[in-house]
Amino acid sequence: MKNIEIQIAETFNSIDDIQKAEAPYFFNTRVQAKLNQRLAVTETSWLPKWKQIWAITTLTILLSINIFSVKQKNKIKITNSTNSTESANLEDFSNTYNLNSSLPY
Amino acid sequence: MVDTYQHMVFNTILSIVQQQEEAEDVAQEVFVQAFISITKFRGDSKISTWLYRIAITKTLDHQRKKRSKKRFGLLKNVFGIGLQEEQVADFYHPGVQLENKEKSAILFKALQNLPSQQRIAFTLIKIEGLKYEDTSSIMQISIKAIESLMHRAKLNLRNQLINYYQSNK
Repeated sequence: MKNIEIQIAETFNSIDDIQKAEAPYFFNTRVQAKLNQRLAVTETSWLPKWKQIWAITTLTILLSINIFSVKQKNKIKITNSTNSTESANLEDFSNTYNLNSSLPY
Repeated sequence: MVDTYQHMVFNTILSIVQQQEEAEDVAQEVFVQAFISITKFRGDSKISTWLYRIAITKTLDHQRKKRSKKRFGLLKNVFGIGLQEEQVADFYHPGVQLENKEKSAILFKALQNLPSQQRIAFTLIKIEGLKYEDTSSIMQISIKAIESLMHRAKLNLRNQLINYYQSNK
């Protein structure tokens, strides 16, 4: 047991005079390169990913609403024009048969 | 900033990660993070303290990711996919004197089995040579808590070393 105690003490003491490990050569250059790479990525993706998804979804919804409203408007126009031709036909018919005349019988 | 603090950051990370390439990678990440969030540095602590904090956070993140990868690898092995689990080599810190090389490798191995808070406190005080006050402001806990962490770390290491030397008699 005493032997083990000595070994444990020696193991703890083995780091007493430890020197600091030095960063590898060109560490600074590598950090610079990594930073530039990171900044380039940030510049190209000026919106975060989830914001991009939201932007695309909103744009799609707005476009759909626009297309739908334009279609609806066209439909109403067509119905209105059919209505006006129908009333013109009725007017023609009444004129032909003098339905509007005020002659007393 | 890199020139002044690169060795300090690298040495701390290397002592915890215990792998040269990984330590370099994490150290680079620390400086990139520091550059990106330099505006958040309020100046109420020393730059070195701030860098130590980033280094510790990044190192713990790295180790967490590594562990989960390892767990996934083990799971793959169970189902017969993937390769055998890699053997962890002994770590020889470049700053250790030659005659202490073997003994320190045993200590570094035992250090890996400590809970993260104890490991960090022990590394900062015993390997980085910081004072208890500095360690307390880096880890943002009281000096009493640091003392308690150090006490438990030494006790845990001692128990591990007893087991090691008893089985290697």
